[in-house]
Amino acid sequence: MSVAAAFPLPDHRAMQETAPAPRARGLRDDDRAAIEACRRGEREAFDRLVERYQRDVYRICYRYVNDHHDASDMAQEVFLRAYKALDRFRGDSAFSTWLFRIAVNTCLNFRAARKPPAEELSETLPAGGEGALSRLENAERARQVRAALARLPEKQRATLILKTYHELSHEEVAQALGSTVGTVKANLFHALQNLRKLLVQAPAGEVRS
Amino acid sequence: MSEHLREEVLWEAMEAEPEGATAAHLAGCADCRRRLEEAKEALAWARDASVPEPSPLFWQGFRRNVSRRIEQRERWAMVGRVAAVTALAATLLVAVRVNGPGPIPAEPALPAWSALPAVEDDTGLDLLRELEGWSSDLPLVAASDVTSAVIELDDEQGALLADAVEREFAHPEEEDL
Ligand SMILES: [Zn+2]
Repeated sequence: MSVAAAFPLPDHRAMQETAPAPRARGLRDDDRAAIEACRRGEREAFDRLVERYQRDVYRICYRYVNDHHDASDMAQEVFLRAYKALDRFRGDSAFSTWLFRIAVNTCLNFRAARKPPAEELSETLPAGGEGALSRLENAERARQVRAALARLPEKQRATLILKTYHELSHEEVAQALGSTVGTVKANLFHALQNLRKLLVQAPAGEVRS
Repeated sequence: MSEHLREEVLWEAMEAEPEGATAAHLAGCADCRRRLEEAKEALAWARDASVPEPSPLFWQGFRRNVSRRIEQRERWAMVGRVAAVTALAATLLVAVRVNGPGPIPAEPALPAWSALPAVEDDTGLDLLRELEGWSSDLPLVAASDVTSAVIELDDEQGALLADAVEREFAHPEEEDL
């Protein structure tokens, strides 16, 4: 980033919530410092942001595509986009919220489908019906669930990932997906219904969007 | 039972103990109770499904790749600026040759037989025209405007141009992590 900041960052203290939240809703002090350093042209400061958020971003992408290599490529792309757009970050939300929004947009734009999903749903599952999934070993069940998640309709998938694993509020998810709170809630419920359907009823993947 | 609960309401019932009309409906509707229980079960499965953690070496390589790709982009942005300056200078040269040293009209009119391309036919400028926000007001017609256009080429415009230039060339393979 070779030009000076286009937008001054608002005062963090004014934005902090009084009650402790599981995830910072306002801009963290260390994020603010790193962003300001980036805007002064200190590239290493961006490395600190990458290190801080690489896992979250990678996990969003992984859950979206259920493939390590694709998730890795996509997560890199997310940080490139974030670096490029850093001057436009106004600081009125947590940096993570802004970054997750870029991650979701990158996922939604991911059209390549370079290869079929690495983990297909096992065809032996439905024989046992609902109880079968509960009896599976945890690791195997997690594998099945990740594979099913990656087969959900795109917006339901993105909604469920952001809400369930990254603790975004309904409003933040709605903002990230260009949606409304009501639609986010409905999508969450649809996503769970479809996830369950994929896991216990329909291995061929007939789901409602 | 007239109408079942909407999905939005059922999600709310998962997040907080249902009250009022929602609670009353659930008490009397086995169908909605079943949908709610099934969704709760799916949510529990979803929450349990963690992502496999890559090795520490992976993360080192990841950061190195991000850093390298940013450097690449910045190099392309520089190439883009040089390309823009070259294109603008070439246009200026054409304009000066056609119109002489005097004031240059906004749309230089060339005779139909001229070997020189009209500014709007110059394929070298297509790249610039493709750039979002540039198409309507490219300052290509007078020497002073050209100077200010070059000076005013900001990071975003440079990066847009870099992306366009990048698309014109084979993208270098990223090294595997
Ligand atoms: Zn009902």
